[in-house]
This record gives sequence, structure tokens and C-alpha cells, in this order.
Amino acid sequence: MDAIVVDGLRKRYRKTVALDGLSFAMPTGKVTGFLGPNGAGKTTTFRSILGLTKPDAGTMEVLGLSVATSLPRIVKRLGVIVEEPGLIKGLSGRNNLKVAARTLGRGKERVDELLRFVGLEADGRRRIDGYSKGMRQRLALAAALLGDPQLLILDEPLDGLDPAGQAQIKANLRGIAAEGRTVVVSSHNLADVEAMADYVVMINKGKLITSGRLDELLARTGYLLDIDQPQSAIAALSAVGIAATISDQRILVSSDDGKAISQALAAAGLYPAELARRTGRLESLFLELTQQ
Amino acid sequence: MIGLIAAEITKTFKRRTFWVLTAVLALLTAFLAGIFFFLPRVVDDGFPTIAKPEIYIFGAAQVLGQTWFPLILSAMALAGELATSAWATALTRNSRRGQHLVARLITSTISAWLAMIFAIALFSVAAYFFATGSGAPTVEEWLGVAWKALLVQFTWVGLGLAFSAWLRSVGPAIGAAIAFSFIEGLLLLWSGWRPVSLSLATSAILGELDAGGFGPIFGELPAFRSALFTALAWAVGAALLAWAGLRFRDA
Repeated sequence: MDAIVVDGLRKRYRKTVALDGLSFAMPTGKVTGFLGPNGAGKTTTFRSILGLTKPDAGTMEVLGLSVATSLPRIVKRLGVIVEEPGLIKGLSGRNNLKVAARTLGRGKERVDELLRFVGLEADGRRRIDGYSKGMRQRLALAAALLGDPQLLILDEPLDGLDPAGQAQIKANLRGIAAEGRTVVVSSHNLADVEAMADYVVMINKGKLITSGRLDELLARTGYLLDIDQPQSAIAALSAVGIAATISDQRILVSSDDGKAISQALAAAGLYPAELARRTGRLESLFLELTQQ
Repeated sequence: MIGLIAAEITKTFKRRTFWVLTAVLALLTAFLAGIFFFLPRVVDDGFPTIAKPEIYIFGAAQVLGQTWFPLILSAMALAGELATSAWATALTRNSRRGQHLVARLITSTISAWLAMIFAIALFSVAAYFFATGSGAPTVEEWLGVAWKALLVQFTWVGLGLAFSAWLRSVGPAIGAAIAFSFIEGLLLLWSGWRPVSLSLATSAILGELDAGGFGPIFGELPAFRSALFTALAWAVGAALLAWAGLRFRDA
């Protein structure tokens, strides 16, 4: 069973299309990186899954339950950081966790344990107004873990953190994933996602670009082709036995033989604006697939 | 639901806002007491003197007239969170918006009521020592003050939550509620409004509290039952409006 299944999700804010028939699945028991450039629709997707915004169309299932009919049951099994840490100003870190525990309908037994887990036991009685951004993110992570969730959804958990704060959160997330929980992380920091994730879902302009196991995606080699007549180029390459596909108006060529690709295109009178080697890094994959 | 109320209690009483508001209410009450107990002694004539036992009930009525208190408290409880990501985060822990609203309605009402009871007690202690005359209200009269105070707080908290749910920011919510209060008062000039007027209904509910010759300006007050129904209708209407503002808009 997949942890999250989204099918045909559409959301429009006045003239802006945020989600344009988005479909994907995220596996259970893995760390999934949810990637996309700014405005790709990542936060809107999270907000739809969490019932914070109502999509115009589409279906969503989380942990085998329909979001449309079982949201109250779903959220009891989730730990979430969406957009910002969502803490209550004027309260101490400890009291913020108490409020979160009570909102979940749980006791305060795990408050001290989780303050220790995120390294805030010494600052728990201080008001969060004096916390750094990193401390707030760590506290938000502790709050997300209070309900002993099966699925963690973390929107930009590393955003704005200094290297020490990022290292702390990453170590925390690795520990959580090692316990067998499902973790979904959206982040701009692709190196961090590459270091943490087992699975990747990449979206752009509200649509799925690609998804799959990270090691399989990064194992893809070949060339990236930018050319005026993509269909003619695919036909020319296919004629000499080289497979190629269009991805977001670029051509992904599966062959590693750059000379053969050039020869096939030249024989057909086609000359690419760019013929670049694909590299096995998430950042390269992200940039080529989102045309950044 | 119990958990949500417990969370609201922590938020209300562990933050400074409630205590600062209560301190301001206490200061205003002390100022009021100063006016009624000491001013008549220094002003030669023309200033009304209210003696015991009426002064106790009159003081309670003046304290309960401080509608800014439940308005600000309820705006802090809801608009303060809607303006940040705290509301969305709360919904990721319990997705039932109606339960969150009811928990805030209950907690803010009881918190405001406790603060009002404290201020009334403060005024009453001052009255005991400094007011002229003798005697005190009966237990029944004090119980009347208590439940009427609760009803008044419930109504104004409901209004504060309704404005918060739609305006989603503390300042505008409080401003709109105060503007509503002002406009609602002006509408009393129109006889057609009086049967549904919240301020007139509040005055009628507090009727016997309205001692000391500061009676109604706009003629006869509505009958007690009618006033009770009007105030409850305003409270329920405001709560429904607040619910609609939370239910049908994105978090």
C-alpha cells in the first residue's frame, strides 16, 4: 500500500493554475523527496492532502483512507510541518508542545522525551519569541512527532536553517526513517534530499515531471537534447536504434554514444542548440527536467 | 473536545495577554471606584452619590459594560492564529473546525467571565470600605449578576470570533467589532431596530443592575424574556457566522 496516492488533482486560484491534473504515489516506509521549483505546487499539494484547502477536482488517499471522507482519522496518524512551524507566540517551547499534545487528544507524557530528542531540553521553559529559526524548526519537528505518527509530512523543514541546524534536523529525520516510518520532505536543498531520500516525486507547474526510486532516477544516463524539431529528431534517432523521449519540451536520449547521436541528427539535417551529457546527480536531473 | 479546551486554557492562561488585559480591566475598575467613591467628596454638588447596597450592583453593571475585554480576548484566540500558520497547524492535529471554534467559544467566554468576576469583586471590596450607606445584595442577586455576566461575555465573545473568522487579523477584527458596537448603538435612534438591538437587550438583561438613576435613554427596555432571546440569538448567530468563516474558507 502506498502512503499517499493523488490522482488528477486540480486547483486554481483565480487566474493562476496551481495544480493541473497532478497524479503520483508515494511509497510506505520510505523517505520521499517532494521536489519542484518555486510555484510548482508543492505547498498547495500538501495543503490539499491535509484538508487546509479544497481542490477543484481529483482524489487523494492517505494511508489507505480517502481524504474526502476520512480526514479526521487521517490527521490523527500524521505529523506535519506545513509552510511555517505554526507555533504559538508568547508560550514557552514546553507549553507549545503541551498545547500540541492536548490538541491531538494526548497527554503530556512525551513532551520531555521529544524536547530531548530535538536537543531543546535546556530551552524548553523559555518563551519561543527568543528562539532562533533553527530552534523553532526543531520544536515544530518535536510537535509533529507527538502523536507517534505513521506518516510525517514536512514542508521545507530545512528552510532558513544554518548548517548546524540542518545537520540536526537531518539527523533527526534519518532516525525517524530508521524506525520504519514514512517521511515526505519537500526542500529546495537538493543535496540534502539526495542524502536522505529513497524515493523522489518531482513536479512543475502543477504537473508530475517524474517519480521513482532515487537510485534508479540517478542511474539514468544518456544525453539531453535541445532542438527545434523534437519529433523529427526522435524519428531520426529511432531510425538508427537510439531511444529518445520528450520530457517537458526537451529530449532525453538514452544512448551514451554522443558521436552516434550527432551523426544521426546531422544525417537528417537536424542540428541541436544543445547536446549535454546527463549526470547522475539529483540537482542535474532536477534542472534538466524542470528546464531551470 | 476536552483536549481542545485544555489546549485553549493553556494558551489563554500561560500567555501574558490575558493577564495584561485583566490588569487593564482592574485599573479601569479602580478608576471607576475612585470616581464614584471619592469624587463626590471633593465636588461640591451635582455629582450623583450611590450608596450601599445599590452601589454593588451598579458597579457590576459598569464592569460588565466593558465589552472590549471579551472582544479582544476572542480576537486573540482566533484571529491571532488565523493571521499566522498556527491555525493551519492546529487543523493538521484535529481537522474538525467546529470543535476548534466551540473550544475557543467556551474558553474565551469563561476566561472573560472570570476576569469580570474578579473586577466586580475588586469594585465590591472598594465599595465595602469606601461607599456610604449600609447593606449588601442578597445571594440571589449575586447569582443573578454571575449568570448574566456569563451570558453577556458569551454574546460578545461570539461576535469577536465571528469578526475574527472573516477578517483573519487581530487589529481589523477588534476594529470591526468596536465599529459594530458603535453603529449598533446609533441604530437605536431607529425604533424598528430596538426589538433586535443587542445593546438594548443587554441593558434589559442587566435591568435591575442598572441602578443609580442612569436608566435607559431610548425609552422602555424590552421585556426580560424577549431580551434574553435576542441576546442568545445574537450569540448563536455570531457563532454560526464564525463557523461559516472557518468552514468555507481555506485555512
